[in-house]
Amino acid sequence: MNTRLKLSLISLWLNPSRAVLMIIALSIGLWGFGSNWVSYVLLSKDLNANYTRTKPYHVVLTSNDFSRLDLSAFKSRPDIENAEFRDSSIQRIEVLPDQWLPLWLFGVDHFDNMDIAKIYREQGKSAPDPGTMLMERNGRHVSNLDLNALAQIRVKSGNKTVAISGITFDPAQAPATQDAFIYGYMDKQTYRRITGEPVNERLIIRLKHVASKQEVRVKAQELIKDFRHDGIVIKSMDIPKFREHPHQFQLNTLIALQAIIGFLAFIMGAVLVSQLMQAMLAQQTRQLGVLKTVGATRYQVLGIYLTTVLVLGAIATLIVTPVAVQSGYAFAGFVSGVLNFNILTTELPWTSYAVLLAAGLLLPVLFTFPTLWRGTNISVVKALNDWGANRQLPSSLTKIINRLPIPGNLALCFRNIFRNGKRLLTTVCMITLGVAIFSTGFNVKKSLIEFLDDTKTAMKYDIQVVLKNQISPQKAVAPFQSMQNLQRIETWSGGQGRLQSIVVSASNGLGVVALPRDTDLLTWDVIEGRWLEPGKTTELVLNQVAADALNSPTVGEDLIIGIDGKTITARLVGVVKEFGPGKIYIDKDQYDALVNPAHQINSLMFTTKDRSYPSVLAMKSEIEKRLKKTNFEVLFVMSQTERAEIIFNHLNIILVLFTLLSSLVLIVGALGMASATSINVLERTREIGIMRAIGASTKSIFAIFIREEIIINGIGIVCGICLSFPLSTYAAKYFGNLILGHQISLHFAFSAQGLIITLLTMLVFGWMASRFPARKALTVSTREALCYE
Amino acid sequence: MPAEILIDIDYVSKQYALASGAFTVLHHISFQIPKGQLVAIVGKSGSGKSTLLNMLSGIDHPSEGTVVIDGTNVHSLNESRLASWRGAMIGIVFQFFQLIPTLNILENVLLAMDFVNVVAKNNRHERAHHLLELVGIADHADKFPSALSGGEQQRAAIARALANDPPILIADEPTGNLDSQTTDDIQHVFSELANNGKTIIVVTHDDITDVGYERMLTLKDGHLVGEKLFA
Repeated sequence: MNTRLKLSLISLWLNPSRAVLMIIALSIGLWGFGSNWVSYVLLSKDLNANYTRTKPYHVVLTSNDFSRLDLSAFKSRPDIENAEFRDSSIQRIEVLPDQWLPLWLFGVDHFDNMDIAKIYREQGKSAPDPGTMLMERNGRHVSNLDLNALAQIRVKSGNKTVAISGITFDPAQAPATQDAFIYGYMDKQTYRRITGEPVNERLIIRLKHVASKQEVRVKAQELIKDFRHDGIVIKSMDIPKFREHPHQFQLNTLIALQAIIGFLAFIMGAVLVSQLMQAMLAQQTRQLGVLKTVGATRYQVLGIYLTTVLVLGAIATLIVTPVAVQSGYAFAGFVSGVLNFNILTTELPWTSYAVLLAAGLLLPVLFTFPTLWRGTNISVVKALNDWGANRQLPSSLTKIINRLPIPGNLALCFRNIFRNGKRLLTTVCMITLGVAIFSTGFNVKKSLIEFLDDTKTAMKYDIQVVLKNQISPQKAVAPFQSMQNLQRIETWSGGQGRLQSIVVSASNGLGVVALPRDTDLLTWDVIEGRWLEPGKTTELVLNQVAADALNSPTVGEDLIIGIDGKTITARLVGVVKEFGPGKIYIDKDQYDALVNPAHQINSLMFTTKDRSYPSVLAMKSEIEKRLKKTNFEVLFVMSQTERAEIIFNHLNIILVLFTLLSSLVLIVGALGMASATSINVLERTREIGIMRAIGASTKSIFAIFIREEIIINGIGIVCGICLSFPLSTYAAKYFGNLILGHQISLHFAFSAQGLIITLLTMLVFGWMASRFPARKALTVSTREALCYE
Repeated sequence: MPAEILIDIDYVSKQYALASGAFTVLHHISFQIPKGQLVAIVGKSGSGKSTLLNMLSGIDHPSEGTVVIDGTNVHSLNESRLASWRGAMIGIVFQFFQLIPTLNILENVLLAMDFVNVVAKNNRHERAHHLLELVGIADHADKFPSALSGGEQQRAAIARALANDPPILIADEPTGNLDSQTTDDIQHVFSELANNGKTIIVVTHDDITDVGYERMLTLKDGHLVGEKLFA
């Protein structure tokens, strides 16, 4: 073996514990980076691939006049890729005894040659037998329904029993587990027969040559004009997000998190290796002088140490790559399970392996290069005269420390700590970053939990019943008046609101909620303007999702809104923060006066006397029983607890990941501290010998090191906690915008639990980091310590 | 015919800046050494002997004056070129041997050849063995430095210093850490090498009569205070 290469390898062999620490640091960093990278490659590609391979529609038009449409002729238009009638309606399905969820039911023309909004067979039939239905696979997680089960479906005419003849996969839909919806698919005849709903009134269209939602909108408006010319009046037009899965925002958040924290963990790992290499250089300074004396140039010496780093990187890469690939796939699998899509990439592209290899080999070299470049620049005479840590404090700093009203041994600790300013800075920075990110993770989690609590407390009703049609309030309330535990029922109204454009409604339908403006059942966090107030002017309040959908109108602006075929003009007076679909809030009296002269309602808000969870559930069950006896067309019945759970399910995956990844950074930070302690002790082995030679006991020397580490740890923790405040504020802003949109920031929240966990983790690591190297150094005899180079 | 001048030290001074002020270690030292001479530099501790050797080998830079060796102004070279030049021109032997403890004796010698690259790769093993034979420790080639006595380690250090066949050998108190018998043996090795044409400069406290030295330079408080030629 080449002598120089042997020298590189022996440097590692000489101090196996340091080599192991370096490999662990690099491995953790590389694992953090690698698994994130692999899952990033899979997730960034596959959710979208799942969605786009369904050939999603670009626009949905509804009309009562489509019987006049020649679909074959329409499909042959040059701007149409494909079109199909895919009727849909929302019914209800019994998921557990006496528990019902909304069922989004589709009436499909041809199951066997679907070429738009495709679904994929998982189990059983790919095309349902007449009288049966297919169920989307994610529905199994929120119900006891499965293949061949007999599902109870509640439609206009009452309950129907429908067999589930197949389980299908529809990647274009939001997962049932998160949105508490079940998706069902029937042939058109069965759909009409069972639901009693009309067919061929909902046309899904896939356009050619469109590259944005705006282009889709322009083309759709042209189509609508043409339809009108043919005597077909379009009732509504919906344009989904262009080439984007409904839950892309969650994935974007995850990917952003992965990218930031994974890379940070790797950088910290690499910095740690750099620090350890610095220690190695410090320990081998005299050897470095000898090498230069016998003719080694700086570049040759640099080459020896770079080879050492390269070997370390190669070992870490070899160990970690398979693990990172596995954990990357596992994490992507977990996310795909939560978001209900399939991992399509069975083999990672070679470029992904190349990135892992490059990260494992080149980045440690890159990060250690400055340290090695500086370290190998030492002059021969200085190197040959090196006898370990001999840096002295600047006299000014010594004077300051001496003046501090602290005991002498503590002053000695401070003087030792500041002897190597750069290392102190690196160590403190690593601890600071670890603590700051870990604490930020907990603080953001707290912010999200507080946001959920705010959402819960903003809605003070216990159960909401939403009807598909409008009925009189007296009729709506009558079945429930005699219920035990009922405090009161408030009735609200509403419908689908659409911002009017030249041709037809131009945005996705936004829910209009017409409620008493002084209701005590809602107290939203108003982020712009104010809540509804009495007056002659018709007023509107939007939630931030609606504001975004309407291109962020200014508060004070007059908006023209189409509701159920009628047009109203109302002034926007405020924007509220809400997790959920877009909504327009309007005073019920004004709403009734403008579009609802019969004062009909479609929502019943129940409050209970005993608000405990079992009592609310009992009330919900009672409501369901009483609804069975009515002919009400129910959209959904939902308790607040269930609603909060739905919201939490949307955010929980982000919280879990955030905690996991920030733990990773904390571990690397703690390892940094351990390595710095180890270096500190190693460098001062001779000093230990001198102290022992002049009579210091093992216990007192040990105490010096422990005190020093407590001080360094303390500085790092305090700095980390201080840094976590601006970091948490920024993260709350970032995640708030990502989750809620409209530049909304989550409120800063300080997690005391997070602080305690951070402190405990750092103290345990700090204690271990000080104890083991110090103990090791103290086992060296005085004679050996004095001879130590 | 006068011998060719190999080393020309001209007006070399060295000062160190200390907190208490500048401290001069060498004061305007000038002398020349011809090729193949065995020179001893003597003086008390702190007289500037080691500093003068460091100037000669390019390990340290003079504050004033020049060191020209074989026509090369040593201190005009940058660090990297200086290292290569030193590897090829000068072999250095230290008081505490300074062998790489993690390499065996043979590898210590090979490492010097590996860095400087003047000996062809194919000949390196053979030459290393030859050098170890020359200094009398060929049997210890596979041993690590810690397994050898002080004298054997110093012989290994001499073999390493000769690895690239440099014309000059500089030794800083090479026998300061050895017993008298081993000291005699090492002195004998130097004498042999000088007879074979090497220019050798040795800083020493030892009695140098009867061991083949041709010249003795005496330093005192950084001044060259005496020069003696031996027949």
